[in-house]
Amino acid sequence: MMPMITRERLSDLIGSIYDCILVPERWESTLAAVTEQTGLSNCVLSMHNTRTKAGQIHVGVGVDEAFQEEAGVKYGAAVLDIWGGPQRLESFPLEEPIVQSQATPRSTWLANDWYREMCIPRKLHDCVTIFLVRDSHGLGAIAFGVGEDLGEVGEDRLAALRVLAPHFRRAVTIGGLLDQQAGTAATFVEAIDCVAAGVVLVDEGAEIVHANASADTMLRAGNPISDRNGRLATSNSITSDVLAEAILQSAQCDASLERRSINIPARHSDGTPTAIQVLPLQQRSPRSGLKQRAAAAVFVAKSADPPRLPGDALSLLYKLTPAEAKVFELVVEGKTPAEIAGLLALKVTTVRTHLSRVFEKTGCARQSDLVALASNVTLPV
Amino acid sequence: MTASDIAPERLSDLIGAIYDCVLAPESWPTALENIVEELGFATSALSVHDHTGEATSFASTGLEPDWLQLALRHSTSLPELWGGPGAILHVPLEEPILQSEATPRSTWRENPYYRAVLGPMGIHDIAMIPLVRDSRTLGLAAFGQREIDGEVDERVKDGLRLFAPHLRRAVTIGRLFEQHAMAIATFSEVLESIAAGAVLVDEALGIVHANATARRMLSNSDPILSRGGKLCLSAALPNAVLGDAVRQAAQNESAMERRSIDIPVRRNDGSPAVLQVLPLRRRTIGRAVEQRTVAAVFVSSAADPPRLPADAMALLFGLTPAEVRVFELIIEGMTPAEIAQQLGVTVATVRTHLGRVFEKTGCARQADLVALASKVTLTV
Repeated sequence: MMPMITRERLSDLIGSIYDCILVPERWESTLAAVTEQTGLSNCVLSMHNTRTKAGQIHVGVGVDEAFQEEAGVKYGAAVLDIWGGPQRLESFPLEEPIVQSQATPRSTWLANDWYREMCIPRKLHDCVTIFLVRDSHGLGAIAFGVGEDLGEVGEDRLAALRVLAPHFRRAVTIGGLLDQQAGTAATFVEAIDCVAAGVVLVDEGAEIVHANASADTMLRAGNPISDRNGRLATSNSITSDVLAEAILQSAQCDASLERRSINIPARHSDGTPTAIQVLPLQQRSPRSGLKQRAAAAVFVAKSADPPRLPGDALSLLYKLTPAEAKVFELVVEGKTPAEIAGLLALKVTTVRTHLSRVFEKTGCARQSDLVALASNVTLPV
Repeated sequence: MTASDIAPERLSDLIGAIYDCVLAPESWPTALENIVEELGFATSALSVHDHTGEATSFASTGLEPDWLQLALRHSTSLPELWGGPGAILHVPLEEPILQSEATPRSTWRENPYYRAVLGPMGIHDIAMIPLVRDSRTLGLAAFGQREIDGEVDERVKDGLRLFAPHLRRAVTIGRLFEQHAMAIATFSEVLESIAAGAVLVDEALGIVHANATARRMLSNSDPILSRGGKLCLSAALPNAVLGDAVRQAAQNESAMERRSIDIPVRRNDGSPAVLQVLPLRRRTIGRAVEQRTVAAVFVSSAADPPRLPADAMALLFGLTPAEVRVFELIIEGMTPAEIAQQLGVTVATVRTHLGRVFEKTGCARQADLVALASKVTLTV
């Protein structure tokens, strides 16, 4: 029992609770150690939705499969009822071991399915629960089963659980927040992955810290950017030097004084020009002022493709026929009617007919109006 | 008072206070002060140095406010007190080491760090505990013992051994939060700089995040709106399409094949715009917490004419600023006469500039200029 426990053992036990933040798989061995230390029969870490009454046992120690499976689903409501129902559950303090037989009279349990069908056959005659979280998601708790052979729970067991309770709660809270943070971070990383332009995060020495999907493709092809021993470069050594200089400048201007992006001309391997933009990043963490590695974000225009027009979107908006949409696209790319006729294997007069329909439907008068219109509906990423 | 005398409840409280610092780093002085009091030290310091060698996060107790500056001024002679620059690197993590064990006290008198920093405070020993050590980071906790309080004995070291794993774990978990916070800050800043509007939404179209452009669009309700925190469009038909697209994204669990769904819309002035709905990979993190955000919705930004990077054009083609300006107006669809009027020059001057632009870029027609511009247009 806890009063007999050494300081070292207590410290280890508490430490193993916090280990579960980093390695959630350890909940099982941690709860097993606590169950053993306190001399209780079994233990479950569970989450109950008080509204739908459905529950889920995330970790179970010393419980059989049926007990673990059905506590949340088949007996979800009964488990809440044995504690006096959802409203009563709201009134229990968090972080405090609560003895079921002190919360509701044993005489009422006999009418409870959970008690009759699951607890009695397993010779469980009481339960101590530490409520840990109560929020919009429901009620999170650690519950220890008390076997008939143990008699009443006893003050020393409760004292031991009282010592551990705040650590359980803190570990569950920190773990939940850490998961949330990790999820948010992953979401942002992925949103940047969606961007069609190449995005490379670099440190002040142009070392690559992160590349989004599009940049990754470019880096693999070495066109128009490449990975030279972990550093971002372009295929042209002069441009590479300019890029490195721009990145260094971005890193040094730090702070939000005047964050201006720097543009660098570059060429694809086939000679077509492209734009590279170096954008300085805030380097100080908002949390602790720690300096982070990424000093700049480098944007690289996606290949030499003309801006992508969503054919469907245009057709829908202006009720263009597929042929008209195609002519529209080619005109915007700068092709003459004669060239378009060649490309689409049509007569020039047909192309002109399509084009006049396009003008009519879109309300445009000149080719340059079409270009302006197209820039409006170019896919944003 | 040593660790073996601590009541279990008190020990539990002191350890709890250490982990409180994970979520509230400003509580570190309190947590350290507890240990200092419990074990009879005079001062304490907790520092995490990043790869630049800068002490990045720092908490201390029992030290004068100007102590850090003083310590930094003499920091070059600090390693010598510990047996040279590499010595501390070999001490196992979580294991306290005493300065008096590392080097003999007799050698300290000549050391500038000791004479300027430790001596004047009456500190005659330091217990140091390495907490984090990797290629980028060194984390240390140090506790100073005053001469009048006697030697740091084995019982005190046992006390430190009791707290060391908790200090280490709390620093490690704190650093994880830090790393995620940095990733969130960096990537949201990148998203912020994108010219298109970007909105991250949950399954029910609830807006989880909007970048600067999207926030502007939302506040003007053009072409996207926020209704009760949910992303929507003013026209019923595209609004239904948007809802479907996001639901589809939510069901597309793997998003292995990332295909965007494009939705044409009209701005309030009747001009067209396009929405792109991209599914985000869903993952279950840790204890069955589901990622809320299921899709990224990008909205083409309003009809800003393409802005050419003047310095890039100058470098690539040797264009003068005036030539770049004429280039820009041409691709916006202006005639030379219109450009002349806008720039306050004669039409002949515009034609001269235009001729040079054609010559320098190797273009023959206005349409070629448009095509060229699309290749070098700023991405963000």
